[in-house]
Amino acid sequence: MSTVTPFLEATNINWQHILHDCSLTVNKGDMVVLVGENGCGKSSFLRCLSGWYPLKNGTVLLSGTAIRTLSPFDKSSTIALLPQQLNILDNIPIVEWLCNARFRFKESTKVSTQKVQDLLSEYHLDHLQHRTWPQLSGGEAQRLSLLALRLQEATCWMLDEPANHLDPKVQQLVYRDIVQAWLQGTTMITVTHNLNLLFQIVDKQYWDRIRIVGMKDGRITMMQNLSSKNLALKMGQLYDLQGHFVDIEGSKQLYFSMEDT
Amino acid sequence: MTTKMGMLIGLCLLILAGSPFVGLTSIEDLTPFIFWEIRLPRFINGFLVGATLATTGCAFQSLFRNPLATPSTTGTTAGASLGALIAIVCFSSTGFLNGYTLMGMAFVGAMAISIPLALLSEHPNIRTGDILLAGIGCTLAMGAISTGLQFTADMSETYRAVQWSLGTLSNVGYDSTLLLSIPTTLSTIGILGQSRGLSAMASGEEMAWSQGVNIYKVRRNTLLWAALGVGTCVAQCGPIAFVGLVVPHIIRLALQHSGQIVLWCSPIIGGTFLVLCDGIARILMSGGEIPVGVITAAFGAPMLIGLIWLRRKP
Repeated sequence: MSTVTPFLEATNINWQHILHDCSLTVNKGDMVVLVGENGCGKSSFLRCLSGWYPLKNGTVLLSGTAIRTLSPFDKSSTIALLPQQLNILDNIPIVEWLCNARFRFKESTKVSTQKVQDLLSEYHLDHLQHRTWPQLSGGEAQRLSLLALRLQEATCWMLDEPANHLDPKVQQLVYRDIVQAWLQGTTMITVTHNLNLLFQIVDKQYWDRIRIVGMKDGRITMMQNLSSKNLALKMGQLYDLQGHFVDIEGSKQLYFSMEDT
Repeated sequence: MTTKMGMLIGLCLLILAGSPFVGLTSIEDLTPFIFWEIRLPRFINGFLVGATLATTGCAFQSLFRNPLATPSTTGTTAGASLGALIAIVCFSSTGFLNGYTLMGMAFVGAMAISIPLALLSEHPNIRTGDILLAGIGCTLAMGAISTGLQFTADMSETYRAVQWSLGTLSNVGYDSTLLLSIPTTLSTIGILGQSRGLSAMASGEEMAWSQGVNIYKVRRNTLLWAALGVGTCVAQCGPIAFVGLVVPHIIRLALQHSGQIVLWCSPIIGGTFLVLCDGIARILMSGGEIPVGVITAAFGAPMLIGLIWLRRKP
């Protein structure tokens, strides 16, 4: 019996014929990457972990407390969530939108605004402060969303495909921001298809700390870490493809080919 | 931004200052009696009703993330209308019908729709879209019942019901102003108190919830405060159309953004809008006046379309 309560502990989660007996333990400071085919239940699982979905079967404990018993306010200091591709139609000014992330601090608008402006200049994004949401590109919107997570100052980020829809450069920038926050101590749970960005961005010495959790048809079928030797094989099995490691200019990359070719 | 807002508020104050002097009676004939006993209470009522309708409309648009959402789409207005109609049709023959029973029934009607809807909205499995859909369902059902009720009523009841359903500010005095002022002020303050939560909901419910906003409470409180305010307004003046829908959009288009400031501007601009429309209703037809509900629709719709038309240019 371990005496340390894990940060987040999901046990036997069944949800709406989508998830079957999913269990996962996340410790403080972990990076957990959820991978799997489209529709395998990654996003649903993330929403169960965040406490958004009410569960009939299974439990999610956040530091030993059932997550659904916590109020949104109690939870906001621990979990910051970024849903897949935010879509904000309103002409809401950027600074005001970012201030929403400070909701839990109950501070004055003036204090929040100052925090937001400081962070915008730290990330060299001050040129965006007079824009409104619809005036942002997909990449700008996503980088600002990560700033919102930073402003919330929660100990864990849950990200649903944070970079899949972005161009290669912005994908790099977004993952750099994510990895930086992780190395600063934020627990990270992210859904993605692209492990190659992690190979490129994360220093080799941290690879065994990155856990790759594979899902297929609503079940967890794979638990590896980024440094493991048979990751390519297992990833291939996950997508019904042939997985290989290739070396591109000294960087390890995953490459998939169709099984019958 | 600040200049635009200043200009907008300045314009409002100007209109507000001038409007009690506008009417069929020329300024020379405007006796102190007409001014103090008729114009002023009517002016205050118009302002309170306009402020409440615009604030609830704006809050509903943020809450439902839908530019068409207003108390009229979520069944609050329809419930209040049906309540009032029941009072007119059923009570008028018994001699039981007066301002208080009419208001009471309208309020009961608004609550009869809003309380179940608010309870529904607190349930974690319910999405905001569902509430809007349920509200539209209620509106249609209430409309059908109202029509049926009018069909069975006699001529004088039907005439009274139709007249009431157009919305008017004409038959009010200080006692009704007092009756109106408390619930509408409470409702407006209650809704403004939700402004931070409502603003966070622009990023969608899931993200607002993760940022610490109790979205279920924001939904419930907004619906209930709105029911209180709108129920009272409908009871007093009938269902005045368009104010709740059009005023927040006018503010957004004028300021060219839709931050929290829109909600905070809604009471003053909504109040001014209705006072202005009421002034027009008083002077447009010689020898009588047009129901203000007709003016708000006839005036508000082209104004909104005009502003959208202007927005074509970058």
